[in-house]
Amino acid sequence: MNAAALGLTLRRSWRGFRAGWARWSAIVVLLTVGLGVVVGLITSATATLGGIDQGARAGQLADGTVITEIPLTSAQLSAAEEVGARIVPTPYVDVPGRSAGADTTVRAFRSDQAVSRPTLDAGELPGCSDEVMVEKLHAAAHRLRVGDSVIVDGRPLRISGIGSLPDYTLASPQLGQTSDPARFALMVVSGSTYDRLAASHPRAVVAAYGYVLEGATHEQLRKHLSQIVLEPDRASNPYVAQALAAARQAGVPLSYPAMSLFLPVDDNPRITGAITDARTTMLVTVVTTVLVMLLVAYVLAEFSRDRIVRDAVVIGTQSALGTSAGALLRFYLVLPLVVTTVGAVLGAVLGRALAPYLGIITDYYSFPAVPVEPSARLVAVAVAGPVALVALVHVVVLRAALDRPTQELLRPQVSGGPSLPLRLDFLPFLTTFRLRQALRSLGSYLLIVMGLFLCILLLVFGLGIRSAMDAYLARAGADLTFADTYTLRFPDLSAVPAGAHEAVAVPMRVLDDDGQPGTTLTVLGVPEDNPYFPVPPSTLGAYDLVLSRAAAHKYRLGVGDAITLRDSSRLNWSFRVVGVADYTATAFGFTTPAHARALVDPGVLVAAERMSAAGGGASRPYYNVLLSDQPLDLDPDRVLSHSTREEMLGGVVKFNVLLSRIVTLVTWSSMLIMVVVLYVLIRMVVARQRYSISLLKALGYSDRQVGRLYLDNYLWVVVGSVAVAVPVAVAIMSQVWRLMTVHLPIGIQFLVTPRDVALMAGLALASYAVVRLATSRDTRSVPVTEVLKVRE
Amino acid sequence: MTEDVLASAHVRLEGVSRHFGAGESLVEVLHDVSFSVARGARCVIVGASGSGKSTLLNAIGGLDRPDAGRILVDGQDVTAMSPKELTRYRRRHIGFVFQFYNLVPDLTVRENIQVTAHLVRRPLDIDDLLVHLGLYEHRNKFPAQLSGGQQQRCAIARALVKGSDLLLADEPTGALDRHTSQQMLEVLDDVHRIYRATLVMVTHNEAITGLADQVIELRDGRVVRDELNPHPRAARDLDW
Ligand SMILES: Nc1ncnc2c1ncn2[C@@H]1O[C@H](COP(=O)(O)OP(=O)(O)OP(=O)(O)O)[C@@H](O)[C@H]1O
Ligand SMILES: [Mg+2]
Repeated sequence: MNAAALGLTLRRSWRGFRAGWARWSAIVVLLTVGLGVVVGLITSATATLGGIDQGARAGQLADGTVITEIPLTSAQLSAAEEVGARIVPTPYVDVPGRSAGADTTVRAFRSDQAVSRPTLDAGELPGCSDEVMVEKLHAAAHRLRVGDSVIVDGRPLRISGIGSLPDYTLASPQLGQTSDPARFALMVVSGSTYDRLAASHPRAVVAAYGYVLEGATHEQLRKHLSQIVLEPDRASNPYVAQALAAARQAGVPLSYPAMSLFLPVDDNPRITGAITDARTTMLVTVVTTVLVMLLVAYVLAEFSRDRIVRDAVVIGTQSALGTSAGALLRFYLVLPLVVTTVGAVLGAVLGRALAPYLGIITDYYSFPAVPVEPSARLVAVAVAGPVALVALVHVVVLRAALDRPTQELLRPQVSGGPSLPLRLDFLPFLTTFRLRQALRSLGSYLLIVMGLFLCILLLVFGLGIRSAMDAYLARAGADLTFADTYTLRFPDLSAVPAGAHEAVAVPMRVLDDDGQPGTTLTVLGVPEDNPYFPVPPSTLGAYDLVLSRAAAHKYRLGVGDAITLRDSSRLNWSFRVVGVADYTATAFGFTTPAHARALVDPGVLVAAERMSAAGGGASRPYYNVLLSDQPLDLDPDRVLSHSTREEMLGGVVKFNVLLSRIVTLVTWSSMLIMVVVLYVLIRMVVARQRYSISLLKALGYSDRQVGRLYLDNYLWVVVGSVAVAVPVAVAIMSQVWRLMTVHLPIGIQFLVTPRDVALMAGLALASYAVVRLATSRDTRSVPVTEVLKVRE
Repeated sequence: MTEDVLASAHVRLEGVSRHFGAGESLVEVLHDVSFSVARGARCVIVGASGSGKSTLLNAIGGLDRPDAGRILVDGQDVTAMSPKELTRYRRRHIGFVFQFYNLVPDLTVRENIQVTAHLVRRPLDIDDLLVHLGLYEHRNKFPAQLSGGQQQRCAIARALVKGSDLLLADEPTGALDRHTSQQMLEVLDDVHRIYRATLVMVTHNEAITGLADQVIELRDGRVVRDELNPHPRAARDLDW
């Protein structure tokens, strides 16, 4: 191409842009918003998974955690090594502290532990006895920085670093503590400081271990460790000796394993919680990306095709005069390529700017900070993809156009389409006219229906997740009517504390299809007077269960289905689901207290009853859970765990906060995208009829009549598409959402509210109104006399 | 021109001027054009290409607005009408045959006529017109499937179907052979006779002036001839 030809091409392209600047700009906006969202979401989700991964790798995350009642002896450690597992001490001690003037509970770890090591965001690990590394969420809560100091067990320590711990199951706070990171602080101290803290708080030391599998399986190690039986006189908890004595007296075999917790890393809710949340946001990202890219590709392809098809006569003329296909292609490519590149680059820039705000998971979970930057590959694909698509569509469509005989190109194409199969002369002319018009423009209508459908899929996705989460949060909040839950290891059966309600909880493991024990489902025996849970009927059979809705969702079970559960002594129990109770907060299998007690280890039952009898009081039936709307004053040695309503809701709330930024972005951008897409598509198909519209006006049709003849059909297309697309999109998206949330421990049902539907319909109509206005304005602005000079 | 003709003038132009562009590129297309056409007369406007014929016709038809002067049709000032009034004016009074046919591409022949017929309460019979213009067997074709002459005939049928009292035709025979041109002129003649419509026809073919009651010649946007023809001939008797 010589300079003159290039100049001409550029001038002609510039005129082309000016003539259709609104549509070209709309394409830029579509690309910018669409790619911005996609690049932002992918960058954020990748960074999140990268952060988790980095934390695990850099910190040499152990394969699992073991906590024992008393420290294991070195003989026991080497015995485990023979089974094929290395067990590394990762002990901790809870001591009082003060951070930025607020009282805290400090859980101190050794800086020299060999597995599940801390990773640093800033500074370094404590190098001497008066330094400390503070966990990042706690540091963030009090705005602590490297160089500040905190008080641990009465002594000020200088913060040498801020970071996170890859395994912080251990962070599960004990009785009366809170998991609020502002008040519960994970810190890492030097070996000598740890020894000093442990020496002054011997009862607060927890014998925790990380294990690394070197040949053994989790099950083999679990079996091996559970055979280490607690010798009563070595147990730190006085009730262990009492219980064993009581059982021996009754002649029932009872042994307490030295191990009080065995937790493979994949079962660790604090790790898997973050991973499942990250995975869910990644899935949201993937679904959004697929939908947005489909839409962008669809609109770009149709827009490119339309331009060439409409210019067929010009192309034919030029080609008849001897212009080469290559030269034609170059001319037709200039404008779309410039516009696409500008849109895509702006999109990448927007995505980069958005990414850090998209609910990066490390703001809520303690994982190492990672740079939130789009990778060079992502940017390259985001820019090159649309550009390549546009080029490809042009080559294909232009080739197809030029392959037709030039003769044919010179005459405008017949706008055919199927004709009406029957005579409709009895109908008013306008009606038949519009019907015929509709049949002839089927292609155009289909184009809009497709575009609108993709938009609605995207919108239904965003709005549906939003509504589902809102509804779930409201339900879960309403379901959790108790404030404190205590699980008791050594219940005092002589009485139930005032204000508390008892229940019998039996953690059992659900057998999967291969008969392998999987996740834990708690069977809960609920007494008739319990106000917090749905009470199963007293006529319930021993092998019947009423599932909570969360459990039904999680295990995809309904009334009549069977479920097999394994108890702690490896016995399998087969249950039939006889009902699903409207309880969404936690996965439970509800039964009567009597049936639940039958599942409890008989030794534990007898020991508990004997111990109360020895105390002299009247013995109540066995229970091991206390629920209350206020904290209870219990003997810490009797309690296994304590959780608060905030903690139980906390996971969901955290998930919601994470997801909500993403969902908000998806919703808003998809609304914008919908308006832009409809604008581009409707304007495009209306523009095909601009000549006819102007002509009818020359013949004496008023704007309103022309509108009715040509434009109002699109209103019905839009209304019809919304009416069909919304239910279809809801059906598709509920399945997608179900697949996306199977790994969540809760049942969140996809929900599209009437308000969402109204919003979508309103948006579609608003876009139509904008187009209608713009179209009638530009048919009005074209002088009729100019149209008359066109030999169409 | 007699007082009698002036009194019953159907179309009257008074000092009509039209220019396009501004400054350097300003073109005076019509310059102080004045004439009258009597009701029921056949007026032929001749002139070289670019002399402003189409511009003049468009102005009379209410498609374009002159920069100065008045155009009175039935005593109503077309130049003073609002866009809405212009639409109503075109609908009620004007039958237009455009120079480039300008058929609606996505309508068939019959529909192109129908869509215009629909504008008035009592249109002529469409099928009669189709037969008369030799388009009956082409009635279901789209404009792109017709020859130039067929398209022009369709355009004429479209202009006639409303039975308007003012027919404006811009080179209706421009692209047609002699035989077809003659047929076309006969059709116009018939319509004129039957419906007593006033016909204003633009042409560059001096021969056609033979059938006119009045001949107006434009040169560079000025009227250089405005004469009445006392003995107009029938279309079939024209010499080409
Ligand atoms: N929109 C416009 N802008 C600028 N100039 C115009 C415009 N429309 C017409 N003209 C000019 O006005 C002059 C008259 O045009 P018009 O179409 O009336 O000519 P005509 O007598 O009908 O010619 P022909 O016999 O070739 O159809 C021409 O010189 C043309 O260049
Ligand atoms: Mg002309």
